[in-house]
Amino acid sequence: MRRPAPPEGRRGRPARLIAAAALLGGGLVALGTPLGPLPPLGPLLDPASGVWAVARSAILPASATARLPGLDGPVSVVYDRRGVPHIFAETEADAYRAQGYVVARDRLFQLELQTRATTGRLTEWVGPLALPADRLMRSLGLAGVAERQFAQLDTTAPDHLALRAYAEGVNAWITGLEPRHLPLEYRLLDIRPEPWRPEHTLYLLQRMNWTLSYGQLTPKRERVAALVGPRAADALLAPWSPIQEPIIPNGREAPRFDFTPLPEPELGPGRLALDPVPTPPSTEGPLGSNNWALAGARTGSGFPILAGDPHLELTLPSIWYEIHLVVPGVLDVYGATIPGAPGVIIGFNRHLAWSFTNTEADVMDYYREAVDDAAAPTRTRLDGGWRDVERRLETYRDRDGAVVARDTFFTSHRGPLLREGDAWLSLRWTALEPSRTQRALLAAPKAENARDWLTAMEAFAVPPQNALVADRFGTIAIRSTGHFPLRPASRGGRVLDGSTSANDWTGYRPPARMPQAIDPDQGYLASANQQPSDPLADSTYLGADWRQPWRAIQINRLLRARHDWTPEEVARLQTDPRSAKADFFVPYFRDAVARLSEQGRADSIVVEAGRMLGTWDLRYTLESAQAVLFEFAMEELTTRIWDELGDDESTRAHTPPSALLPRLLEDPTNAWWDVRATDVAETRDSILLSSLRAGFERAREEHGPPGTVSWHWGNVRQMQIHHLLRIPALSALDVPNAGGTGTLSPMGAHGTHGASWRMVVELGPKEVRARTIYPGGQSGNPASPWYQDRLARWSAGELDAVSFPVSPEELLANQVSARLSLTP
Amino acid sequence: MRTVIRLLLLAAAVALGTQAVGWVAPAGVGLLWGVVGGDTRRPVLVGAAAAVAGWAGLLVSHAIWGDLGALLSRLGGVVGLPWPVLLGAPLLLGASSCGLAAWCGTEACRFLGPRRETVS
Repeated sequence: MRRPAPPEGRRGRPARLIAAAALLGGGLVALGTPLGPLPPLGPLLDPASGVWAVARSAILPASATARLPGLDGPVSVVYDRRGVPHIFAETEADAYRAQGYVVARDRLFQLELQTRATTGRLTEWVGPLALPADRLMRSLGLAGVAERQFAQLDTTAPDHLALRAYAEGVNAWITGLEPRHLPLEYRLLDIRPEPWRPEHTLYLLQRMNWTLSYGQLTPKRERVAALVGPRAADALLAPWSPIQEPIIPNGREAPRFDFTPLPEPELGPGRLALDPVPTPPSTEGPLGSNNWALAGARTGSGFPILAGDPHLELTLPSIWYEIHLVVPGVLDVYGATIPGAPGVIIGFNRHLAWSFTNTEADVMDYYREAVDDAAAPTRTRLDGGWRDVERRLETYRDRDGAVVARDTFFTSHRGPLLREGDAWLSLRWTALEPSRTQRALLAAPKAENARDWLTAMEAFAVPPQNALVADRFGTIAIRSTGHFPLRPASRGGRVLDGSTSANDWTGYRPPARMPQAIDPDQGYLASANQQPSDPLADSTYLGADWRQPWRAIQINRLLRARHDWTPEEVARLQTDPRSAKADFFVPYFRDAVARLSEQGRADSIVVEAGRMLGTWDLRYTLESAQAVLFEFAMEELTTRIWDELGDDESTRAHTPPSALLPRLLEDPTNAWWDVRATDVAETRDSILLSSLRAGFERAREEHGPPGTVSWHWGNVRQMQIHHLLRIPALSALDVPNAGGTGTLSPMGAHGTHGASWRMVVELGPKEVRARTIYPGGQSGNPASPWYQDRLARWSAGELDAVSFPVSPEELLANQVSARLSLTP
Repeated sequence: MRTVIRLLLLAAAVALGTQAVGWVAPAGVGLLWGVVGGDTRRPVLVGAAAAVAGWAGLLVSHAIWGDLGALLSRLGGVVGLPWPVLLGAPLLLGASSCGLAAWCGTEACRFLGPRRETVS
């Protein structure tokens, strides 16, 4: 049926055409243009290759084939049910190529974010917001150091080959990346991945150096000395820990406490001196690690067991990626790698297992330099002559290439030359010196016994680590390994005169002089970032401001108690909620309450708080109300005692570790107990009681009356595992953790750091049995079932039994989730 | 029936076009549809409906071969919107761009082309 033609007046009216065209054109332009920080909506919402495609790339195809240029032969990758790729290659280089490929497949954004963070190029993604972080990284010149280190490598050296092979793998993935496989973060930021260069791996290692060895002892000590005098500063940042439970066994069955009174604070000049760069978080934080190894004499099976759990910032995706690399006759290693680094960092092979804790050594010094031009130095004075200063112009750009800022940085022959008021300070730091750390990390996993492993690790430079190893032949060993500077002065932590080379380091400690122990009589070895050697046995300066020994005390107490440990029981120890710290401090609180009660002056709050602590089993279980009270009381105690150093955590020049408090607790009238803001002279008991009262009142104010679930530790403090971009919806927030400051699964006030990887390995003569877990999952894709699939088990303290196949065929069909064949 | 067939063909064109050239495909298909089918009944509505169908099909494929639910849940949290609104956004975008382009094509045809009679 024909319809009548439209009226003549409506036909061909240009206004309608213009309106339609304008609306269409305008709409398309608007949808294709970024709106402020938002990416263009058109490409983002495209259902074929827009953000929705992230859902499809979240699931690996059951079987896939890809070309990886540069391969020497075919490589088979089998993903098990936990998303762990088992890589079977014919050459070592191929294994690293495939590793680069699969890591990029799962964690591409993380790879690039780490690189940009170290090179100070985050402004190119997010603009001026990232300028402070970029400035800090560029001022230290970490990227330049990494590039020089790579340039100095022999092109036939194994680490050079590995870095190149890994880069080829990453780039093969990036090159073949279809728009629909672009990770979510790239879409949200409207960016594209950059090619990976071999030196990017070394950037990553520099980032780890920054995290783990950027101790800043000198600025801390200077600031403390300015406030309370040099004598007190030296005591607060002492080169020996007042509680000795050293890594290297000292023949004692219990920790040794130093109750020597702490030097009282003197009135310093009050000026907050020497703050050229920000200092890291307080030592009270849980950034630290545990590892221990049991010899056969301590285990039920008679086989050695090694356990390790490094404590780092927890993120989604995790800092770790689990992988298995097999090259017949060359390499068969399983464990945790950091995305961006070839090989395995912490793990095991068919013969041995190893893990690290941070040594916390002092590996940096500041030098006050005499310069020729105070405004823009070109030379520094040295031994009566002059040394040239290198000048570097750094330009920060935004995503459009526009200049955000420019800086000029100076570098002396010692390191970065930083301006501090009228002075120029050189920073010498082992991280900025030549290093063969990568070579050590690649060689050690090929060792077939513990002694060979230690030998391979001798090349390890930074960050210094307590390297623990156990082998199937029964040997257990530990060595605090890395570059420990040999200083002319007896200790570090002071600004040195830069005009003379007499103050320069004379080298590094040789391996034979590093703290170490092999097969000790006690039948086990353990480290938890405490001072490695008892100063009574080895007084050589290694560092100061040692981390809390509470975890070490608890580990030693538990391990000493038995000779029939099983892997399952060892795994449970990693989340043991008992607090050695509470064990020490709670009696002091209770005694103070008892003394007050005897005098008839105790109020109801103090009595109630004392009663609560008196009934506590000293365990940070999720239901514990006493843990809440104790943590709050300790925080109040810290604020009151160290008021001379600042009013609160954010403004305090330094928060001395709680391990120093025994030196005060046996000295009830020490001036440190006095709170300067009050007219009365406080003493130990009054501060303990006021802290306990304030802790109780704070808990009641924030969480209601005691006895309710809101007082439960699990409801008061939880882990906050943020996405790398800190997007809450992509993060895992409020994750329960049965631990607090000082427990084996530690958690600080912010809940951002904790056990980033847990591993227990039993080394039988014929079979290696391992369990692992980390808080997150293998995939960086938030829509993937492997994004955070391990989180609940990690939170519950469970570990997964791992598959450790010799060949691809050894994995049963029901253990395989995906296969990938890589061909040249 | 003819309308349904046209709609399905258009939806297929939108889906395939989006796979090939991206999010501007509905506009291109709509424009062409406006030119060749502008004299059919409700060309704008048919174009918009076809775009919805075509893009919905693509989204369904992500649900079949991927975990669209997990993604919607995450994205909903990122942008602070419930998942139905989130899912509706691309459909609205496809419908509006295709419908608008169809209108544009129809008007262009009317303005530039010879006088025609509308058939149903």
